[in-house]
Amino acid sequence: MNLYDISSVEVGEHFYWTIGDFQVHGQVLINSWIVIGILIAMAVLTTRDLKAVPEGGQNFIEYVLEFIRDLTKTQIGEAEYRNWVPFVGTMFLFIFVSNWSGALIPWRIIELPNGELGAPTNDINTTAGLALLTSLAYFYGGLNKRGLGYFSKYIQPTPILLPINILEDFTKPLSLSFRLFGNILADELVVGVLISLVPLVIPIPLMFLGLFTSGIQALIFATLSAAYIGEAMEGH
Amino acid sequence: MAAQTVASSVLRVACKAPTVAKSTKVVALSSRNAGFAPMQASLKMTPAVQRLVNLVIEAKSEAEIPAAAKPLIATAVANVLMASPAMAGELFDFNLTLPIIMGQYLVLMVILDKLIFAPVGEVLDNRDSELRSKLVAVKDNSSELDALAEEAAAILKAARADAQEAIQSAKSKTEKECAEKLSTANNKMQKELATALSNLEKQKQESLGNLDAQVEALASEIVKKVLPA
Repeated sequence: MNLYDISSVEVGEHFYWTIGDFQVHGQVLINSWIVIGILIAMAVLTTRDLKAVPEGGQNFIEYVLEFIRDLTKTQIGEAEYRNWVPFVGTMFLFIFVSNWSGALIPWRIIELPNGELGAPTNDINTTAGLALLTSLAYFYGGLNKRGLGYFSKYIQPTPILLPINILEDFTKPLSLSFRLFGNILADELVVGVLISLVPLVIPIPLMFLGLFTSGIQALIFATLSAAYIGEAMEGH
Repeated sequence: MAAQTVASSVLRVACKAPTVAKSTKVVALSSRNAGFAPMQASLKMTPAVQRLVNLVIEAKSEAEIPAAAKPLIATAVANVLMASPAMAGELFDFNLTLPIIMGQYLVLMVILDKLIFAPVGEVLDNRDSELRSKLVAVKDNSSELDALAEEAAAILKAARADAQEAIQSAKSKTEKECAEKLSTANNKMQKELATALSNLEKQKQESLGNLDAQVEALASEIVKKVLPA
């Protein structure tokens, strides 16, 4: 396998597995397992020996957790944010590690019969799944906090906005999933195409841009999730 | 072999089979594939797929495989065909991956909550409350600090007064000593002066007495010489 093969581009091709009567994208599942493995390994390694005065890996995990807590606190508010830290935090970590795994790990070395390994987030199933979970989460948050009064927000500030408010429930997961999917896929495609044109040196700035975009996208996804949850929970 | 013929032969096998449900599914799959006719032209079959498809087609002609197994095999072949490159190519291909990812995410959330968010959060909170309580304790010490500062000021004042006193006493003592020494020296000098003056007076008297005697002697001598006896 030469460099050219490693860098070639495949779009929309999937490594199908069949489970019962259904099909799944094997490459997405394999990669998501790897990402989950990385996350759990990181969690285990850094929290093995927790002390009041942090040392080594504990510094890192505390930095990560404080970052996530700040993010959640600014969106959901001091009073309620604690219960949502695991959801938003896992969202951020999973997407971030997914995106970076797609950019940093040379998946092409592992050959699949069809399709290619890449970031799990470059598949619409993953991003839509996460976006739907966000929708469920903010519905749950709103109903849990305000009961059926939650639905009064649909006719506020005026009942004329009812259709738009209902539409918003559909556009939120749609925009979330497509933003992430589009950014990550586009990033991998741009790098792939550029590599196929100029294999050396030239794509490097774009790769760095890709890393930057990946981080930003994870942050945006997590921030918007938290914002939607916060919005659903606060009364108008 | 063209993909079209493969698909249609699979379809035929399936339609012959007794199970209607299975065959309709294959029909559904095949009709779905029909949308990708341009891609099917470039179908490259792996040897395994080739063999499977051949097997099904031979089974149709020679009836070697029991009728009941045919729909199963047909489904399997159709699935394999679906998995081959020609049938893929959908960017927005929603399938079972989505709920699986959702489930995995929820499991991951629970695991990370147990591993990171709960324990590390607890460590952070504990440290926070500890620092807060220490800070409050330090702020409460202000009255004690004031007392200490007062005490220090008092000690300083006392020390300053002591020092002042010591300086004063030393100064007065020295002055007294000086005055004493000065007065004794003065007295001594006065006494010496007085004795010296009295000595001088005495000597003067003595010399004056001597002078009188000499004057008398000289006068008598002059009288003797002037007045001859």
